[in-house]
Amino acid sequence: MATTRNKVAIAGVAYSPTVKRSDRGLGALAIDACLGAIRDAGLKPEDIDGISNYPNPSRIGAGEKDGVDFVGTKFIAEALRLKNLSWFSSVTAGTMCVSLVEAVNAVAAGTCTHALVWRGMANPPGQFGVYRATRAEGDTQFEAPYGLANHVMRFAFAYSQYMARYGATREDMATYIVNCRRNAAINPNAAHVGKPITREDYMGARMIGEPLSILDCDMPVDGCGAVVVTTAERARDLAQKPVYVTGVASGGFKYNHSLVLDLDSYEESAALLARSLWKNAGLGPSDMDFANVYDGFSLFVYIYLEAFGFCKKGEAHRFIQDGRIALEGELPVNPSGGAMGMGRLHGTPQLLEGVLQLQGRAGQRQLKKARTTLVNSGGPATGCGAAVLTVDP
Amino acid sequence: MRAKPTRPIPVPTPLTQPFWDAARNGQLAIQRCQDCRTYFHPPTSVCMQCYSSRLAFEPVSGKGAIHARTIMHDGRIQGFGESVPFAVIVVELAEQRGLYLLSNLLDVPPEEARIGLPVEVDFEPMDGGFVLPQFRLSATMKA
Ligand SMILES: [Zn+2]
Repeated sequence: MATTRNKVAIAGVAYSPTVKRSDRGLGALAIDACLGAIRDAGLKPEDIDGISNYPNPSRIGAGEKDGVDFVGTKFIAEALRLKNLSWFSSVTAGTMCVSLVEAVNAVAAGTCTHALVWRGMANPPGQFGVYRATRAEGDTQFEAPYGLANHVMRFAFAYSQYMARYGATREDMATYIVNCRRNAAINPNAAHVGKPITREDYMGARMIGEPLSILDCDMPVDGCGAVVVTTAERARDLAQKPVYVTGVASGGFKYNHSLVLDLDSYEESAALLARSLWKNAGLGPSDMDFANVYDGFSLFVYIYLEAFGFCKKGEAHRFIQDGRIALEGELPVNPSGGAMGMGRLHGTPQLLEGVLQLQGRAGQRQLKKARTTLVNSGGPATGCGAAVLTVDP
Repeated sequence: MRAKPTRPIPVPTPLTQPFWDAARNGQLAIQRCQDCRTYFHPPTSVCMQCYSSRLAFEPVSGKGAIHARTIMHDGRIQGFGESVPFAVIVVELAEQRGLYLLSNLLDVPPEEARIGLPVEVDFEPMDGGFVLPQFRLSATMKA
Protein backbone atom coordinates (compact mmCIF):
# COMPACT_ATOMS: atom_id res chain seq x y z
CA MET A 1 0.00 0.00 0.00
CA ALA A 2 1.09 3.54 -0.70
CA THR A 3 2.41 5.66 2.15
CA THR A 4 0.37 8.48 0.64
CA ARG A 5 -2.91 6.51 1.01
CA ASN A 6 -5.80 8.95 1.70
CA LYS A 7 -3.33 11.74 2.50
CA VAL A 8 -4.28 13.67 -0.63
CA ALA A 9 -7.80 14.77 -1.57
CA ILE A 10 -9.76 16.37 -4.36
CA ALA A 11 -11.28 19.60 -3.09
CA GLY A 12 -13.03 21.15 -6.09
CA VAL A 13 -14.27 20.35 -9.58
CA ALA A 14 -15.84 22.22 -12.49
CA TYR A 15 -16.80 21.79 -16.13
CA SER A 16 -16.96 24.47 -18.74
CA PRO A 17 -20.02 24.38 -20.96
CA THR A 18 -19.48 21.39 -23.27
CA VAL A 19 -20.96 21.50 -26.75
CA LYS A 20 -20.17 20.09 -30.18
CA ARG A 21 -18.80 23.49 -31.26
CA SER A 22 -18.54 26.58 -29.10
CA ASP A 23 -18.19 30.08 -30.52
CA ARG A 24 -16.18 31.06 -27.44
CA GLY A 25 -13.02 29.11 -28.19
CA LEU A 26 -11.19 26.55 -26.07
CA GLY A 27 -9.11 29.14 -24.16
CA ALA A 28 -12.21 30.77 -22.67
CA LEU A 29 -13.74 27.39 -21.84
CA ALA A 30 -10.58 26.25 -20.06
CA ILE A 31 -10.49 29.45 -18.01
CA ASP A 32 -14.13 28.77 -17.04
CA ALA A 33 -13.36 25.25 -15.88
CA CYS A 34 -10.13 26.12 -14.05
CA LEU A 35 -11.51 29.18 -12.24
CA GLY A 36 -14.66 27.16 -11.54
CA ALA A 37 -12.74 24.33 -9.86
CA ILE A 38 -10.67 26.79 -7.81
CA ARG A 39 -13.82 28.61 -6.63
CA ASP A 40 -15.61 25.33 -6.01
CA ALA A 41 -12.88 24.46 -3.52
CA GLY A 42 -13.23 27.86 -1.86
CA LEU A 43 -9.81 28.96 -3.09
CA LYS A 44 -8.42 31.84 -5.17
CA PRO A 45 -6.03 31.61 -8.14
CA GLU A 46 -3.19 32.94 -5.96
CA ASP A 47 -3.56 29.82 -3.76
CA ILE A 48 -2.68 27.54 -6.70
CA ASP A 49 0.99 26.55 -6.47
CA GLY A 50 0.98 23.51 -8.78
CA ILE A 51 -0.46 22.74 -12.21
CA SER A 52 -0.68 19.47 -14.12
CA ASN A 53 -2.03 18.75 -17.56
CA TYR A 54 -2.14 16.46 -20.58
CA PRO A 55 -2.11 18.98 -23.42
CA ASN A 56 -2.12 17.03 -26.69
CA PRO A 57 -4.34 18.52 -29.41
CA SER A 58 -7.54 16.56 -29.88
CA ARG A 59 -6.61 15.42 -33.37
CA ILE A 60 -3.53 15.22 -35.53
CA GLY A 61 -3.09 18.29 -37.68
CA ALA A 62 -5.43 20.37 -35.52
CA GLY A 63 -2.96 23.21 -35.02
CA GLU A 64 -0.50 23.89 -32.25
CA LYS A 65 -1.44 27.18 -30.62
CA ASP A 66 -1.67 27.03 -26.82
CA GLY A 67 -5.01 28.46 -25.71
CA VAL A 68 -6.58 27.85 -29.14
CA ASP A 69 -5.95 24.32 -30.38
CA PHE A 70 -5.07 22.91 -26.96
CA VAL A 71 -4.71 24.30 -23.45
CA GLY A 72 -1.33 23.70 -21.83
CA THR A 73 0.39 24.78 -18.66
CA LYS A 74 1.81 27.97 -20.23
CA PHE A 75 -1.60 29.30 -21.22
CA ILE A 76 -3.24 28.57 -17.86
CA ALA A 77 -0.31 29.88 -15.79
CA GLU A 78 -0.44 33.14 -17.75
CA ALA A 79 -4.21 33.49 -18.12
CA LEU A 80 -4.88 32.85 -14.42
CA ARG A 81 -1.77 34.87 -13.42
CA LEU A 82 -0.52 32.02 -11.23
CA LYS A 83 2.48 33.74 -9.69
CA ASN A 84 2.86 31.41 -6.72
CA LEU A 85 3.64 28.28 -8.73
CA SER A 86 6.30 25.97 -7.35
CA TRP A 87 5.57 22.95 -9.57
CA PHE A 88 4.16 22.01 -12.94
CA SER A 89 3.82 18.87 -15.01
CA SER A 90 2.83 18.28 -18.61
CA VAL A 91 2.52 14.60 -19.48
CA THR A 92 2.89 13.24 -23.01
CA ALA A 93 0.38 10.40 -22.73
CA GLY A 94 -2.49 9.08 -20.68
CA THR A 95 -5.12 11.86 -20.61
CA MET A 96 -6.73 13.34 -17.46
CA CYS A 97 -6.04 10.50 -15.03
CA VAL A 98 -2.29 10.45 -15.67
CA SER A 99 -2.01 14.18 -14.99
CA LEU A 100 -4.05 13.55 -11.81
CA VAL A 101 -1.50 10.91 -10.71
CA GLU A 102 1.29 13.47 -11.16
CA ALA A 103 -0.55 16.08 -9.07
CA VAL A 104 -1.36 13.59 -6.30
CA ASN A 105 2.30 12.63 -6.03
CA ALA A 106 3.45 16.27 -6.04
CA VAL A 107 1.03 17.19 -3.24
CA ALA A 108 1.93 14.05 -1.27
CA ALA A 109 5.62 14.92 -1.58
CA GLY A 110 5.02 18.47 -0.42
CA THR A 111 6.21 19.99 -3.70
CA CYS A 112 2.99 21.99 -3.82
CA THR A 113 -0.19 22.33 -1.72
CA HIS A 114 -2.97 23.24 -4.15
CA ALA A 115 -2.60 21.65 -7.58
CA LEU A 116 -4.91 22.43 -10.48
CA VAL A 117 -5.46 19.65 -13.05
CA TRP A 118 -7.44 20.08 -16.25
CA ARG A 119 -8.10 18.62 -19.68
CA GLY A 120 -9.42 20.86 -22.45
CA MET A 121 -10.50 19.51 -25.81
CA ALA A 122 -11.17 21.51 -28.96
CA ASN A 123 -13.22 20.41 -31.92
CA PRO A 124 -11.41 22.35 -34.62
CA PRO A 125 -12.92 23.34 -37.97
CA GLY A 126 -13.16 20.51 -40.47
CA GLN A 127 -13.98 16.91 -39.74
CA PHE A 128 -12.33 14.09 -37.86
CA GLY A 129 -11.54 11.24 -40.17
CA VAL A 130 -10.51 13.32 -43.17
CA TYR A 131 -7.05 12.36 -44.37
CA ARG A 132 -5.28 14.17 -47.17
CA ALA A 133 -1.63 13.12 -47.30
CA THR A 134 -0.30 11.93 -50.65
CA ARG A 135 3.05 10.93 -49.15
CA ALA A 136 3.37 8.34 -46.40
CA GLU A 137 6.23 9.31 -44.12
CA GLY A 138 7.66 7.69 -41.00
CA ASP A 139 5.68 4.72 -39.70
CA THR A 140 2.72 5.65 -41.90
CA GLN A 141 4.65 4.25 -44.91
CA PHE A 142 3.52 0.82 -43.68
CA GLU A 143 -0.10 1.90 -43.10
CA ALA A 144 -1.32 4.71 -45.35
CA PRO A 145 -0.63 2.95 -48.70
CA TYR A 146 -3.23 0.39 -47.56
CA GLY A 147 -5.76 3.09 -46.76
CA LEU A 148 -5.16 2.89 -43.02
CA ALA A 149 -5.12 6.56 -42.13
CA ASN A 150 -8.02 6.97 -39.77
CA HIS A 151 -7.78 6.41 -36.01
CA VAL A 152 -11.06 4.53 -35.88
CA MET A 153 -9.55 1.83 -38.08
CA ARG A 154 -6.56 1.45 -35.75
CA PHE A 155 -8.86 0.90 -32.79
CA ALA A 156 -11.14 -1.42 -34.74
CA PHE A 157 -8.48 -4.15 -34.98
CA ALA A 158 -8.61 -5.16 -31.32
CA TYR A 159 -12.41 -5.06 -31.35
CA SER A 160 -12.50 -7.45 -34.33
CA GLN A 161 -10.33 -9.82 -32.31
CA TYR A 162 -12.46 -9.44 -29.19
CA MET A 163 -15.58 -10.36 -31.14
CA ALA A 164 -13.96 -13.37 -32.78
CA ARG A 165 -12.28 -14.62 -29.59
CA TYR A 166 -15.13 -14.17 -27.12
CA GLY A 167 -18.24 -14.23 -29.31
CA ALA A 168 -19.28 -10.63 -28.62
CA THR A 169 -21.73 -8.91 -30.95
CA ARG A 170 -22.80 -5.37 -31.76
CA GLU A 171 -26.11 -6.16 -30.01
CA ASP A 172 -24.12 -6.69 -26.81
CA MET A 173 -22.47 -3.28 -27.12
CA ALA A 174 -25.82 -1.59 -27.80
CA THR A 175 -26.57 -2.06 -24.10
CA TYR A 176 -23.52 -0.04 -23.07
CA ILE A 177 -24.04 2.80 -25.53
CA VAL A 178 -27.77 3.13 -24.82
CA ASN A 179 -27.05 3.15 -21.07
CA CYS A 180 -24.46 5.93 -21.50
CA ARG A 181 -26.89 8.04 -23.46
CA ARG A 182 -29.61 7.39 -20.86
CA ASN A 183 -27.26 8.67 -18.11
CA ALA A 184 -26.08 11.63 -20.21
CA ALA A 185 -29.66 12.60 -21.00
CA ILE A 186 -30.06 13.71 -17.36
CA ASN A 187 -26.55 15.19 -17.01
CA PRO A 188 -26.62 18.96 -17.64
CA ASN A 189 -22.85 18.92 -18.34
CA ALA A 190 -23.17 16.34 -21.11
CA ALA A 191 -22.95 17.18 -24.81
CA HIS A 192 -25.81 14.70 -25.33
CA VAL A 193 -28.05 16.04 -22.52
CA GLY A 194 -31.71 15.38 -23.28
CA LYS A 195 -30.80 13.07 -26.19
CA PRO A 196 -31.21 9.41 -25.29
CA ILE A 197 -31.00 6.84 -28.11
CA THR A 198 -32.53 3.41 -28.71
CA ARG A 199 -30.88 0.08 -29.47
CA GLU A 200 -32.18 0.47 -33.03
CA ASP A 201 -30.41 3.83 -33.34
CA TYR A 202 -27.16 2.12 -32.34
CA MET A 203 -27.63 -0.89 -34.61
CA GLY A 204 -28.35 1.39 -37.56
CA ALA A 205 -25.46 3.79 -36.91
CA ARG A 206 -23.15 4.64 -39.81
CA MET A 207 -20.20 2.28 -39.96
CA ILE A 208 -16.72 3.86 -39.97
CA GLY A 209 -14.09 1.15 -39.54
CA GLU A 210 -16.12 -2.01 -39.01
CA PRO A 211 -16.81 -3.19 -36.32
CA LEU A 212 -16.67 0.40 -35.00
CA SER A 213 -19.61 2.62 -35.97
CA ILE A 214 -19.89 6.34 -35.43
CA LEU A 215 -21.66 5.60 -32.11
CA ASP A 216 -18.70 3.52 -30.87
CA CYS A 217 -16.55 6.67 -30.96
CA ASP A 218 -16.93 9.61 -28.59
CA MET A 219 -18.19 12.78 -30.26
CA PRO A 220 -15.61 15.59 -30.63
CA VAL A 221 -16.58 18.60 -28.53
CA ASP A 222 -15.32 21.92 -27.27
CA GLY A 223 -15.03 21.69 -23.51
CA CYS A 224 -12.86 21.42 -20.44
CA GLY A 225 -13.00 19.85 -16.99
CA ALA A 226 -10.80 20.71 -14.02
CA VAL A 227 -10.11 19.57 -10.46
CA VAL A 228 -8.14 20.93 -7.50
CA VAL A 229 -5.94 18.50 -5.56
CA THR A 230 -4.64 19.27 -2.07
CA THR A 231 -3.60 17.56 1.16
CA ALA A 232 -6.31 15.70 3.08
CA GLU A 233 -5.72 17.97 6.03
CA ARG A 234 -6.13 21.13 3.98
CA ALA A 235 -9.18 19.74 2.16
CA ARG A 236 -11.03 19.38 5.46
CA ASP A 237 -10.87 23.19 5.87
CA LEU A 238 -12.16 23.91 2.34
CA ALA A 239 -15.62 24.39 0.86
CA GLN A 240 -16.52 20.87 -0.31
CA LYS A 241 -16.60 17.45 1.28
CA PRO A 242 -13.09 16.04 0.69
CA VAL A 243 -12.77 13.13 -1.72
CA TYR A 244 -9.69 11.19 -0.65
CA VAL A 245 -7.29 9.58 -3.10
CA THR A 246 -6.71 6.06 -1.80
CA GLY A 247 -4.40 4.93 -4.57
CA VAL A 248 -3.12 5.81 -8.02
CA ALA A 249 -1.33 4.15 -10.93
CA SER A 250 -0.27 4.99 -14.47
CA GLY A 251 0.86 2.80 -17.35
CA GLY A 252 -0.23 1.83 -20.81
CA PHE A 253 2.80 0.64 -22.72
CA LYS A 254 2.73 -1.82 -25.59
CA TYR A 255 5.45 -4.43 -25.66
CA ASN A 256 5.00 -6.07 -29.07
CA HIS A 257 7.15 -3.72 -31.20
CA SER A 258 4.51 -3.35 -33.87
CA LEU A 259 2.32 -0.61 -35.27
CA VAL A 260 -0.72 -2.68 -34.39
CA LEU A 261 -2.75 -2.08 -31.24
CA ASP A 262 -3.93 -5.65 -30.81
CA LEU A 263 -6.14 -7.23 -28.19
CA ASP A 264 -3.28 -8.95 -26.38
CA SER A 265 -1.49 -5.62 -25.94
CA TYR A 266 -4.63 -4.07 -24.49
CA GLU A 267 -5.27 -6.92 -22.10
CA GLU A 268 -1.67 -7.13 -20.93
CA SER A 269 -1.27 -3.42 -20.45
CA ALA A 270 -4.63 -2.84 -18.73
CA ALA A 271 -3.98 -5.79 -16.41
CA LEU A 272 -0.70 -4.21 -15.34
CA LEU A 273 -2.45 -0.90 -14.63
CA ALA A 274 -5.09 -2.70 -12.56
CA ARG A 275 -2.54 -4.72 -10.56
CA SER A 276 -0.59 -1.54 -9.79
CA LEU A 277 -3.70 0.34 -8.74
CA TRP A 278 -5.17 -2.31 -6.44
CA LYS A 279 -1.77 -2.83 -4.82
CA ASN A 280 -1.31 0.90 -4.32
CA ALA A 281 -4.82 1.41 -2.96
CA GLY A 282 -4.96 -1.75 -0.84
CA LEU A 283 -8.45 -2.36 -2.21
CA GLY A 284 -10.02 -4.42 -4.97
CA PRO A 285 -12.94 -4.41 -7.37
CA SER A 286 -15.45 -5.67 -4.78
CA ASP A 287 -14.78 -2.52 -2.72
CA MET A 288 -16.02 -0.24 -5.53
CA ASP A 289 -19.61 1.02 -5.39
CA PHE A 290 -19.50 2.03 -9.06
CA ALA A 291 -16.92 2.31 -11.86
CA ASN A 292 -15.85 5.19 -14.06
CA VAL A 293 -13.84 3.49 -16.82
CA TYR A 294 -12.57 5.12 -19.97
CA ASP A 295 -14.68 4.76 -23.08
CA GLY A 296 -13.11 6.93 -25.79
CA PHE A 297 -13.80 3.91 -28.01
CA SER A 298 -16.50 1.50 -26.88
CA LEU A 299 -14.23 -1.56 -26.69
CA PHE A 300 -12.14 0.07 -23.93
CA VAL A 301 -15.01 -0.48 -21.48
CA TYR A 302 -14.80 -4.25 -21.93
CA ILE A 303 -11.00 -4.18 -21.61
CA TYR A 304 -11.07 -2.18 -18.39
CA LEU A 305 -14.01 -3.92 -16.71
CA GLU A 306 -12.18 -7.19 -17.24
CA ALA A 307 -8.71 -5.92 -16.33
CA PHE A 308 -9.88 -4.31 -13.10
CA GLY A 309 -11.55 -7.59 -12.17
CA PHE A 310 -15.23 -6.63 -12.20
CA CYS A 311 -15.71 -9.69 -14.40
CA LYS A 312 -13.53 -12.37 -16.01
CA LYS A 313 -11.55 -11.91 -19.21
CA GLY A 314 -13.84 -12.20 -22.24
CA GLU A 315 -17.03 -11.80 -20.21
CA ALA A 316 -17.61 -8.04 -20.10
CA HIS A 317 -19.98 -8.17 -23.06
CA ARG A 318 -22.23 -10.42 -20.99
CA PHE A 319 -21.55 -8.68 -17.64
CA ILE A 320 -22.94 -5.35 -18.87
CA GLN A 321 -26.36 -6.87 -19.73
CA ASP A 322 -29.60 -7.08 -17.74
CA GLY A 323 -29.37 -3.65 -16.15
CA ARG A 324 -26.27 -4.48 -14.12
CA ILE A 325 -24.41 -1.28 -15.13
CA ALA A 326 -27.43 1.08 -15.02
CA LEU A 327 -27.78 3.78 -12.36
CA GLU A 328 -30.03 1.33 -10.46
CA GLY A 329 -27.80 -1.69 -11.13
CA GLU A 330 -25.36 -3.60 -8.95
CA LEU A 331 -22.32 -1.92 -10.54
CA PRO A 332 -23.24 1.39 -12.18
CA VAL A 333 -20.68 2.13 -14.95
CA ASN A 334 -20.06 5.70 -16.05
CA PRO A 335 -23.08 7.33 -14.38
CA SER A 336 -22.04 10.62 -16.05
CA GLY A 337 -22.72 9.06 -19.44
CA GLY A 338 -18.98 8.56 -19.99
CA ALA A 339 -17.29 9.86 -23.10
CA MET A 340 -20.08 8.31 -25.16
CA GLY A 341 -22.61 10.56 -23.47
CA MET A 342 -20.56 13.60 -22.45
CA GLY A 343 -18.31 13.87 -25.50
CA ARG A 344 -14.63 13.50 -26.25
CA LEU A 345 -13.18 14.94 -23.02
CA HIS A 346 -10.32 12.51 -22.30
CA GLY A 347 -11.14 11.35 -18.81
CA THR A 348 -13.02 14.25 -17.26
CA PRO A 349 -16.36 12.34 -17.56
CA GLN A 350 -14.68 9.67 -15.41
CA LEU A 351 -12.71 11.70 -12.85
CA LEU A 352 -15.18 14.52 -12.22
CA GLU A 353 -18.12 12.14 -11.99
CA GLY A 354 -16.33 10.05 -9.39
CA VAL A 355 -15.89 13.16 -7.27
CA LEU A 356 -19.40 14.54 -7.79
CA GLN A 357 -21.07 11.21 -6.95
CA LEU A 358 -18.98 10.76 -3.80
CA GLN A 359 -19.88 14.28 -2.68
CA GLY A 360 -23.59 13.65 -3.32
CA ARG A 361 -23.63 16.40 -5.97
CA ALA A 362 -24.61 14.35 -9.03
CA GLY A 363 -28.16 15.72 -9.28
CA GLN A 364 -30.75 13.52 -10.96
CA ARG A 365 -28.23 10.77 -11.62
CA GLN A 366 -27.06 10.58 -7.99
CA LEU A 367 -26.41 6.96 -6.97
CA LYS A 368 -27.83 5.53 -3.75
CA LYS A 369 -24.48 4.15 -2.68
CA ALA A 370 -21.42 6.18 -3.63
CA ARG A 371 -18.68 5.93 -1.00
CA THR A 372 -15.73 4.45 -2.93
CA THR A 373 -15.04 4.34 -6.66
CA LEU A 374 -12.59 3.70 -9.47
CA VAL A 375 -11.74 6.41 -12.00
CA ASN A 376 -9.66 5.62 -15.07
CA SER A 377 -8.81 7.12 -18.43
CA GLY A 378 -6.51 6.78 -21.43
CA GLY A 379 -5.93 4.10 -24.03
CA PRO A 380 -5.15 0.66 -22.56
CA ALA A 381 -1.90 0.41 -24.56
CA THR A 382 -1.19 4.05 -25.45
CA GLY A 383 -1.00 5.64 -21.98
CA CYS A 384 -3.51 5.38 -19.15
CA GLY A 385 -4.00 6.17 -15.50
CA ALA A 386 -6.35 5.24 -12.68
CA ALA A 387 -7.24 6.18 -9.13
CA VAL A 388 -9.37 4.94 -6.27
CA LEU A 389 -11.37 7.70 -4.60
CA THR A 390 -13.25 7.48 -1.31
CA VAL A 391 -15.14 9.51 1.28
CA ASP A 392 -14.34 6.85 3.90
CA PRO A 393 -10.59 7.23 4.48
CA MET B 1 -11.67 -3.12 -53.87
CA ARG B 2 -14.42 -1.62 -55.98
CA ALA B 3 -12.16 0.95 -57.62
CA LYS B 4 -8.39 1.15 -57.71
CA PRO B 5 -7.31 3.66 -55.06
CA THR B 6 -4.65 6.32 -55.45
CA ARG B 7 -2.33 5.25 -52.69
CA PRO B 8 -0.07 7.62 -50.74
CA ILE B 9 3.54 7.14 -51.83
CA PRO B 10 5.85 5.65 -49.18
CA VAL B 11 8.79 7.82 -48.15
CA PRO B 12 11.53 5.32 -47.22
CA THR B 13 14.19 6.12 -44.66
CA PRO B 14 17.65 4.49 -44.57
CA LEU B 15 16.16 2.04 -42.08
CA THR B 16 13.18 1.05 -44.24
CA GLN B 17 14.70 1.28 -47.75
CA PRO B 18 15.63 -2.45 -47.93
CA PHE B 19 11.96 -3.42 -47.34
CA TRP B 20 10.86 -1.43 -50.40
CA ASP B 21 13.85 -2.53 -52.50
CA ALA B 22 12.99 -6.18 -51.81
CA ALA B 23 9.32 -5.62 -52.68
CA ARG B 24 10.37 -4.12 -56.00
CA ASN B 25 12.20 -7.40 -56.66
CA GLY B 26 9.09 -9.43 -55.77
CA GLN B 27 10.36 -10.45 -52.38
CA LEU B 28 9.02 -9.90 -48.86
CA ALA B 29 11.99 -9.14 -46.63
CA ILE B 30 11.80 -8.39 -42.92
CA GLN B 31 14.48 -7.00 -40.66
CA ARG B 32 16.06 -9.64 -38.42
CA CYS B 33 18.58 -9.59 -35.61
CA GLN B 34 21.69 -11.48 -36.73
CA ASP B 35 22.50 -12.45 -33.14
CA CYS B 36 19.24 -13.58 -31.50
CA ARG B 37 17.31 -14.10 -34.80
CA THR B 38 14.27 -12.05 -33.79
CA TYR B 39 12.32 -10.38 -36.62
CA PHE B 40 11.14 -6.76 -36.39
CA HIS B 41 8.56 -4.80 -38.31
CA PRO B 42 8.67 -1.86 -38.55
CA PRO B 43 12.47 -1.89 -38.68
CA THR B 44 14.31 -0.81 -35.55
CA SER B 45 17.72 0.77 -34.96
CA VAL B 46 18.61 -1.71 -32.23
CA CYS B 47 17.42 -5.23 -31.50
CA MET B 48 14.61 -4.82 -28.98
CA GLN B 49 15.30 -8.35 -27.68
CA CYS B 50 19.08 -8.61 -27.16
CA TYR B 51 20.14 -5.00 -27.99
CA SER B 52 22.47 -6.08 -30.77
CA SER B 53 23.11 -3.60 -33.56
CA ARG B 54 23.66 -6.38 -36.11
CA LEU B 55 20.36 -6.15 -37.98
CA ALA B 56 19.75 -7.19 -41.59
CA PHE B 57 16.83 -7.88 -43.92
CA GLU B 58 16.06 -11.50 -44.74
CA PRO B 59 13.45 -12.97 -47.09
CA VAL B 60 10.46 -14.57 -45.36
CA SER B 61 7.96 -17.15 -46.58
CA GLY B 62 5.19 -14.64 -47.23
CA LYS B 63 2.75 -16.98 -45.49
CA GLY B 64 0.67 -16.01 -42.51
CA ALA B 65 -2.84 -15.70 -41.14
CA ILE B 66 -5.35 -12.91 -40.59
CA HIS B 67 -4.87 -11.78 -36.99
CA ALA B 68 -7.27 -8.81 -36.95
CA ARG B 69 -9.23 -6.82 -39.48
CA THR B 70 -11.29 -3.74 -40.13
CA ILE B 71 -13.56 -2.90 -43.04
CA MET B 72 -13.38 0.75 -43.93
CA HIS B 73 -16.70 2.32 -44.91
CA ASP B 74 -15.77 5.99 -44.55
CA GLY B 75 -14.56 7.39 -47.88
CA ARG B 76 -12.90 10.53 -46.54
CA ILE B 77 -9.39 9.23 -46.97
CA GLN B 78 -7.85 10.88 -50.01
CA GLY B 79 -7.38 8.45 -52.86
CA PHE B 80 -9.67 5.80 -51.34
CA GLY B 81 -13.04 7.56 -51.67
CA GLU B 82 -14.22 5.34 -54.53
CA SER B 83 -12.74 2.17 -53.03
CA VAL B 84 -14.92 1.78 -49.93
CA PRO B 85 -15.79 -0.60 -48.45
CA PHE B 86 -12.36 -2.22 -48.32
CA ALA B 87 -10.60 -4.46 -45.81
CA VAL B 88 -7.40 -3.65 -43.98
CA ILE B 89 -6.03 -6.76 -42.36
CA VAL B 90 -3.31 -7.45 -39.82
CA VAL B 91 -1.30 -10.40 -41.08
CA GLU B 92 0.65 -12.38 -38.51
CA LEU B 93 3.56 -13.85 -40.44
CA ALA B 94 4.24 -17.56 -40.00
CA GLU B 95 7.85 -16.87 -38.99
CA GLN B 96 7.17 -15.39 -35.56
CA ARG B 97 4.34 -14.82 -33.11
CA GLY B 98 3.37 -11.14 -33.00
CA LEU B 99 5.18 -10.31 -36.27
CA TYR B 100 2.51 -8.19 -37.91
CA LEU B 101 2.19 -6.62 -41.34
CA LEU B 102 -0.71 -4.56 -42.64
CA SER B 103 -2.34 -5.35 -45.96
CA ASN B 104 -5.51 -5.16 -47.96
CA LEU B 105 -7.12 -8.43 -48.99
CA LEU B 106 -6.89 -8.93 -52.75
CA ASP B 107 -9.56 -10.33 -55.07
CA VAL B 108 -12.41 -11.03 -52.61
CA PRO B 109 -15.16 -8.94 -51.02
CA PRO B 110 -14.01 -7.36 -47.73
CA GLU B 111 -16.36 -9.52 -45.61
CA GLU B 112 -14.24 -12.51 -46.64
CA ALA B 113 -11.47 -11.17 -44.39
CA ARG B 114 -12.06 -13.44 -41.42
CA ILE B 115 -9.73 -13.82 -38.49
CA GLY B 116 -7.67 -17.01 -38.62
CA LEU B 117 -7.76 -17.55 -42.39
CA PRO B 118 -4.39 -18.35 -44.03
CA VAL B 119 -3.01 -15.75 -46.44
CA GLU B 120 -0.07 -15.44 -48.79
CA VAL B 121 1.84 -12.46 -50.09
CA ASP B 122 1.59 -11.05 -53.58
CA PHE B 123 2.98 -7.85 -55.05
CA GLU B 124 1.06 -4.93 -56.48
CA PRO B 125 2.78 -2.19 -58.48
CA MET B 126 1.80 1.31 -57.42
CA ASP B 127 2.63 4.90 -58.32
CA GLY B 128 6.12 6.29 -57.86
CA GLY B 129 7.79 3.07 -58.94
CA PHE B 130 6.90 1.34 -55.69
CA VAL B 131 5.68 -2.22 -55.33
CA LEU B 132 3.34 -2.88 -52.43
CA PRO B 133 3.35 -6.23 -50.61
CA GLN B 134 -0.29 -7.36 -50.50
CA PHE B 135 -1.97 -10.52 -49.28
CA ARG B 136 -4.65 -12.82 -50.63
CA LEU B 137 -6.45 -15.81 -49.12
CA SER B 138 -4.32 -18.93 -49.57
CA ALA B 139 -7.37 -20.83 -50.84
CA THR B 140 -7.69 -18.43 -53.77
CA MET B 141 -4.04 -18.68 -54.82
CA LYS B 142 -3.47 -19.95 -58.32
CA ALA B 143 -1.98 -23.43 -58.27
ZN1 LIG C 1 18.74 -9.63 -31.02
